[in-house]
Amino acid sequence: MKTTTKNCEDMSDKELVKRSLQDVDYFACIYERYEQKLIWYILRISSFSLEEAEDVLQEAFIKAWKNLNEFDENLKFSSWIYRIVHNTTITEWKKSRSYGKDKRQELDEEIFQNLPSSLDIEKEANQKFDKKNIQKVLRLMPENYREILVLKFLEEKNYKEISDILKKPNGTIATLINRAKKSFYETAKEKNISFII
Amino acid sequence: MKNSQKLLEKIQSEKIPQRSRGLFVLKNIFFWLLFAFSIIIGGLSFSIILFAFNQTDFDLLSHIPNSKIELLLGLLPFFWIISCLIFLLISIFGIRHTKTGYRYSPLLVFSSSIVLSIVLGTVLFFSGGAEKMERIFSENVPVYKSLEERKISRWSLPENGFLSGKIVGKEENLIIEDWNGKKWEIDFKNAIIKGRLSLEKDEEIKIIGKMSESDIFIATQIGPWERMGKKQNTRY
Repeated sequence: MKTTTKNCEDMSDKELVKRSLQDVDYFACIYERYEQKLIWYILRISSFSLEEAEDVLQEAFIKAWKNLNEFDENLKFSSWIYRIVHNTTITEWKKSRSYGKDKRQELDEEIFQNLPSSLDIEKEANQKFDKKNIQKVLRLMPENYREILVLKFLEEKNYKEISDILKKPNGTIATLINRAKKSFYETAKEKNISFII
Repeated sequence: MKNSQKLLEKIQSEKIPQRSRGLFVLKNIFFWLLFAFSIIIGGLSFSIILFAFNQTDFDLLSHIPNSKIELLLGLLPFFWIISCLIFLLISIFGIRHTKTGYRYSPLLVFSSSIVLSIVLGTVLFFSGGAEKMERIFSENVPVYKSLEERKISRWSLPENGFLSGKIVGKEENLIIEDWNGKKWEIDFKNAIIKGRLSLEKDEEIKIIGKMSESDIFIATQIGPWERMGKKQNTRY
């Protein structure tokens, strides 16, 4: 069996995609390059356990493999793979909930609290925030608001990237971010959660 | 075992195939074509709506004391209005499913589809395409009632004061034959003549008035029939 033996650190994403179409080993390079980031992303937008997040990521990469020819070079590869991972996560998350297993209650608190966070609002206001409580507020928010805040402030994607990931126009993204921020503060206030230290 | 190795193993052991580039290209082309096709059909529908409005006897409304809404609804080309709306929605669906369609705002997609349909429809209307399309449609679609047929229905209600047909004779009164072949004697002494009419044999006319007997009609207004697409300058 082949394993990833290629040295691909210096290669761009687009180069790796081209090579993956010829040699599957290079696809493993892509996986390794994005694995950590995407696992965090899955955990942030769902409440899957780490093992489940790994399974979801594997499934998302299988889909990416099948559709690799669809990748448009005008798009950033990261946006394309985030889109696939996002859609797979949402589908799997809904599926798991429809089976009556609401993992939201069974969330591994320790993993969630240790997710790296760099909310822009922290920089803006020059204040220190309680990451644990920020994550808590995010988990209480509606999914569409939660995912957009995660992409903007935790994944630090720009509007164009978010637009490409969620397949929504830029204007809609801007509106959603504004509404989501408002919803974030309202949720925190409503639940009496203070996230400013 | 590393997760990347697990992934490779799965792809290779299950021989997971990749979809060909051609498939994605075709899919994208399909949705662009769907968009273009819907705009064309939407435009054609809009042109027939214009044609129908241009041919409709809205002034009939002033001669109906009651149930004006019912008559107005009967005058509107609902088939083509619905067709126009459906193809407008299909065009939006088409463009939203192209590779980059999601980047355009729904409002922009909606308004540009409407504008394109209106522009195309207006061009078709003025070039006579609408009339041809309507005729082809009425000749080939059995359940479809053409604008001409609908007009005949509206003007074949002598008991309601509307009659039409061809002049077959002229003495003291006019003799006309309606579209069902029935002969009528038309008393036109006090009738207002609207439009270009000489009231000679073989002329097709429409009449507003009152039925006095089973084959006698007292006209208050007479106008030219104006066959679809052969409209005269003056409206009745």
